Amino acid sequence: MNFNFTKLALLLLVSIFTVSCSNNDDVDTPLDTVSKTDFIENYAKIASANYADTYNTAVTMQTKINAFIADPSEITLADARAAWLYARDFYGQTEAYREAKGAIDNDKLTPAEGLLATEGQINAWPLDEGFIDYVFNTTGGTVQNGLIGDTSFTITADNLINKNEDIDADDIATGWHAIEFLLWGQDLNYDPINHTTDNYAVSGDRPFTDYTTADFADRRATYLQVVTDLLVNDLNDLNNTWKVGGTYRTTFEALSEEVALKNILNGIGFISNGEVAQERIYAAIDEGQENEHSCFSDNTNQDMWANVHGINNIIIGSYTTESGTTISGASLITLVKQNNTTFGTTLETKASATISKLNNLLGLGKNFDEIINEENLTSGGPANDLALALVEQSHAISDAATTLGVSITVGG
Amino acid sequence: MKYFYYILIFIFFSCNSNELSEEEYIDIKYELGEENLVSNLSIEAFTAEKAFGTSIPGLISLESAFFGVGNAMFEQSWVSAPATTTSRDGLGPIFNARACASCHSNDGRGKPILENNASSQGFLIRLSTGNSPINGPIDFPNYGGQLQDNSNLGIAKEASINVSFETITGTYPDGETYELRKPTYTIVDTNYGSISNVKQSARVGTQVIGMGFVDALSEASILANQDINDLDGDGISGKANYVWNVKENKTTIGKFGWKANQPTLEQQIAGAFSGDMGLTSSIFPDENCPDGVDCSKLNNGNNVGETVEVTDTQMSRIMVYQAAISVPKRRDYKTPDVLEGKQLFKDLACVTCHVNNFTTGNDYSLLKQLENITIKPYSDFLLHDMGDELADNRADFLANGNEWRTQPLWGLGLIKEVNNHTFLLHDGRARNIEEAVLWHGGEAENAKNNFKNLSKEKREQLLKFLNSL
Repeated sequence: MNFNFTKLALLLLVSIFTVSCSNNDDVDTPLDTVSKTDFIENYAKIASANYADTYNTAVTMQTKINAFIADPSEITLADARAAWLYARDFYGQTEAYREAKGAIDNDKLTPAEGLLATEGQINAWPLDEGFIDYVFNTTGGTVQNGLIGDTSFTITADNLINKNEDIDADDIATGWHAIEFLLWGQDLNYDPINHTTDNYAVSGDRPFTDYTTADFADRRATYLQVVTDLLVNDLNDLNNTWKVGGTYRTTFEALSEEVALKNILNGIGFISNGEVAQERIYAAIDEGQENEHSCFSDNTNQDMWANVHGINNIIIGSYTTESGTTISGASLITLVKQNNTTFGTTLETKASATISKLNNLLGLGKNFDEIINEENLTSGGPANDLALALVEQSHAISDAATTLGVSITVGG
Repeated sequence: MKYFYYILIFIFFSCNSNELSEEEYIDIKYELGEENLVSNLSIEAFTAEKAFGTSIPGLISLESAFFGVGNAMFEQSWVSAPATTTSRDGLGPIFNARACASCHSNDGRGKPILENNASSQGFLIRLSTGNSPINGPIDFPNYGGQLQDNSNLGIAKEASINVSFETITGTYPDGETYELRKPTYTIVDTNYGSISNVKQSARVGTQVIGMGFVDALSEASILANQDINDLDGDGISGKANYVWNVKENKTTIGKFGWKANQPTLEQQIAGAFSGDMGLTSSIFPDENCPDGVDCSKLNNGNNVGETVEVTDTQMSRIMVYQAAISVPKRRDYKTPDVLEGKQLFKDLACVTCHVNNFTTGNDYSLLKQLENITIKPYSDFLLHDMGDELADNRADFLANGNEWRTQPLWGLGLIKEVNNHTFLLHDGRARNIEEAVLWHGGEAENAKNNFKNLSKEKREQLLKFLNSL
């Protein structure tokens, strides 16, 4: 099982919060008036706290990975994997700030404005595993075409950055999924008893000996070290630029109300529909296991948890930090309701439905690849339901934007 | 800067429209909804990354799902077989690119090769020994119809390509000078025998917006602009290409490609899978096999029970994706300079070929939403003689070596945002829109000369209009 008790507790907290919100509205208590500025400021606070958590948990992961590299064993490998899974939950929520002309993916900013544009380097997916290290072929053997086996290639951060997205969009060599691949290896769904490849309950299971006695063990360790350090550096930059007084935070705060709103809503609208529903869920349902987001670690359910909650954090105006405190303020729901009760209520309903469909999927207690293996695009089912809820949520976000006087594009 | 702008406006109005205020001018010149290039299915370009890759609004949920699947397929790399990624293997044995997005980055435009051999990202060379008006270009022995400059491990790529540029200098009548760069391509390091006396033509990948609307155009609506013998005497002809339609097993009108040499969006995509990535499909089921290699002994990417690497299901998904990509709304469409540029575009007769008024047909079953839509592609999709300077001297069905299909101009000004470059024309030789205009010859010679005769201010206005598309 992938999701841990901390996450479940967090999930419960958020659910309770959402429910209590709805109850307030149902009994028709007057809403506190919130302004667009309140909402925009709260977004910045949430983003800043979320990026800080992402950086801090990644530093912990880095410590565990360092310990693994220094002394590879089943225990240190398990610790490193657990730290990756934990840190991933906080990063996953930050994806709601993408496609919002922010520091992470806007290459039109200047460095003084907070230019980073490191999204590809941080989270590019799908990973071309064979470009990095050995992969299994269909006869149970392995093929080593990747950079780890290419001794003419010097593994340094600069060299990897240059290789990343080199020529072809998916020669992906760095980021979360590269680390994931180096910790877990390919997920073959292998059933050692029946010798079939339909055991979706198993994840990738790279042996720690890949870092001791296996071919290119030293180069593999160097690679893991370099990409981990690079990710932590990139997350540190994101954290710094979003801090109060940080370069992008300053840029963001200087935006006109209209532009800031448009950026925020376009971001969550796009992530809800185009990114998570369409590219991550539908593509996985239609084309199978290798198209699931965290395919090596079988952490895709948790990716869904994080992505959905990242969007929901902004809609409900609340974020629960790693330390357990809650940052809350003006929600999108409240802001929209003030301008248009119908659209505000619809947004609330769609957001709540999305959480509910997410909980259905998580409640199955099955890995994502097992779930999608039982569905196709016309079968319905929990993954389909979640995608549809996310699409509808994006349309509600689009209507909300119109209500607030800005126009966004969320696609079909 | 702002002050300067107002002065410009002031000068502008004092010269052209004595009595009109800026607001009145805009009211007169702006046509309601002109920014919507595909009517109400236009989308707003927001971030550069998604300016070209966004679907039309209002897809039903299953279409939206197909769009997402197709999008993933477009972006992701194909890998050599065998691989655990069974729905993405089968690349090669020889190929130009690993993913659609390699040549159409962010659904946008490819980059040409440069003299320093920097990676090209979307450049290739077509080959032939001659042409048949019915069957099209005749393959060059050992190399086929396209030079593949990449290959799987253990297979030799066909060759490499070098380029050198000759600088052509010119002067506008007002004394301003310009420089164009004329490329010469050399095929080197050939691995499958001599390649002399080949007909060759370089290409860059184009942005893939609005393709469904073009696919949905009726043959009659394209033929309506045809004027093969220039009966109206305006110096501009326009000829439809008729090309081999594999599915229909006959010749039908060509709509896609730099020479209008593909009849349908589906065949265009299948052709790219085959020629660019070495992937088989039911339209082009034969592996593109290098000379002297027994491809039956190589691993292919066919899954159990299937005979091609890109299955019909996968083709159907990518079809929805490509057909449903919308066209961004224009920007700055209400500024006086752009509105004046729009008028110049008409006055210079650019609009004769770059036609801005089509209505799609009423039988596009793939996406019914695209039927009966008024579109402004700024193209007639017909072949025109573009002069000797642009000629590739390689015939392609009914297109001779001087003829090219009018390029749609929608999205033109966004290429810079999406792809961080402004290289244009079939091989990317033009470094910006102005150079692309200046390369126009043949039937467009007059229009180009009239452009050159404009004042600097007017030329800029025309370019601003083009950038607003």
